[in-house]
Amino acid sequence: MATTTVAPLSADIELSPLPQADGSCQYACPTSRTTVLTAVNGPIEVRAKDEQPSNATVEVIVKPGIGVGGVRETRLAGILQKTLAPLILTAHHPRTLIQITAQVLQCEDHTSIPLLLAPLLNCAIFSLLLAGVPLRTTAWAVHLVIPSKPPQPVADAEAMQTDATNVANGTIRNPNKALLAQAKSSHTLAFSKEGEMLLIESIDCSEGSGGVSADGQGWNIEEWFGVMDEAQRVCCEDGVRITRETLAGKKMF
Amino acid sequence: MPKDPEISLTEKTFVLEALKQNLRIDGRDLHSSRDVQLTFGDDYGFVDVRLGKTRVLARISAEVTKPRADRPFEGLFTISTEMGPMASPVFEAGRPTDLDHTLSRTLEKSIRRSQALDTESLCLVTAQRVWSIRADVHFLTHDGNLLDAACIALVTALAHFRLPVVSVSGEDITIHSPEERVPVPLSLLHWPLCVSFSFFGDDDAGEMIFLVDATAQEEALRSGDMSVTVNKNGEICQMAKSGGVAVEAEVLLRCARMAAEKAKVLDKMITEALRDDELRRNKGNLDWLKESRAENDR
Repeated sequence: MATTTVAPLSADIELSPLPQADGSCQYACPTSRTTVLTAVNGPIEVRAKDEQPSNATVEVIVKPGIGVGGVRETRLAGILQKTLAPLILTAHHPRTLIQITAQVLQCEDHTSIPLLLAPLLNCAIFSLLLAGVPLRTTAWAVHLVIPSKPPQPVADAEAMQTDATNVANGTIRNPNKALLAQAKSSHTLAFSKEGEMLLIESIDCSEGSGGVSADGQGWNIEEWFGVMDEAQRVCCEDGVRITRETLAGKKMF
Repeated sequence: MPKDPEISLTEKTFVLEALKQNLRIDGRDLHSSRDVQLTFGDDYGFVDVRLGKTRVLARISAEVTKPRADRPFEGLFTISTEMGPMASPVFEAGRPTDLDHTLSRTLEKSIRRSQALDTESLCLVTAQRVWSIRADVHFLTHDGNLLDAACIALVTALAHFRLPVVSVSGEDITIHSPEERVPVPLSLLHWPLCVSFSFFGDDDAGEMIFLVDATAQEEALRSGDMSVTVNKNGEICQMAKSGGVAVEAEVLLRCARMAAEKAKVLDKMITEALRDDELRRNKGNLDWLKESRAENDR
């Protein structure tokens, strides 16, 4: 596979946009236009039924941009809770609540869980850091898609913006709507700074046929390993770099 | 669950004594509002309003549904306001507070019941297909005066939103994509804008002070409040003074008059912001002035 020079990952991050929250962050992905806002409050008083005698309770609430939260938001919140809770040193604040609230402001496709998951996770990590919640390590998540073959030229000139810049090892990073529409499968992976895999959320994007099959739908294991290697590289190189650069002005570390 | 931090006696005395000398903690005049900042998103109908530290976001969406059986000619319009812990940890998710109820009720009265949006213009096929317009208001930060900010956000978002063009042939409808036909603005009959007042002191002693655009601190200390919704023509759409300190009728009249002035200024500010955004979106395209409209010239 031809190795193209990949432009380094970038993100528009605004730290502490909400003065009332203990920590908050607004994260916009420049290629996919997805914008999310997260706020962290904690440690605060916990409801008696959620209280844990030797750990802090981690609560995640995800609110959609349009409509009231449904199954999808609960699912997103569940994934985020399970990913973030092990990163937080909950034993430091027993019998308290660490509350993470996420608001999706705008996104390319509000039905795609992998697409929303990556910005939400990255944004939540920044908010946790700003709130001064003790973390075991930092993490980064990236959304990658495998385009269907052969990649069809995108009709919309605006949609082509990313063509060479975020394609590597046969995957497209943080795709926009036009690129997502022709994806074969969609994956969000999160890695800690040390390269530990924290999260895999992969779905098949082909409509109707579903699953792995010979007709080019779904994904095979080689493709998936390609995705994993690329995600690990992005998270451990670009992700760590962005985290450092963003927080450099904050004099936190 | 966490409570609002209680204001200490010293702080309370300081703020109230300062108010008696016509001074506010943030240095504003008693009757001046904080600057309003409007930011538009990539999509139409997405507005982010900042009023000092208060930040409210409104988003409009539309879908085609069946009308209510008793109102076959009218489209649907719903306003959803939900406060979460993002605005302040005091607000619990899924458990509305009193403030929550008051806000959604006042917004409903101000905008929906004042017929700001012409729901009959949303009808596509009588008794079968109508547009359902949904307005989601998200409260991001609470530093007082959520109501005015939410009202500005809603009105601006409604004026900013564009509805896809629909062609009807018999009972079949076709929704045209923005590339095919230029989407049209909603038919807004007027822009009701809300102005809230906070009362301090006793009326009997003749020391009644009223403030415009109170911060969260001032709201916590006030002895009464009132909201007036008025459009730029000076027509009052809604007025609510629920309890609190007794206020003389003369003060109310002064408040109403001031609200009408404020609404005029806000109206102008929103018009300018919308125009700037339209110019930014349509760089080099002069056709936008000729954009098709759903409303008639009146």
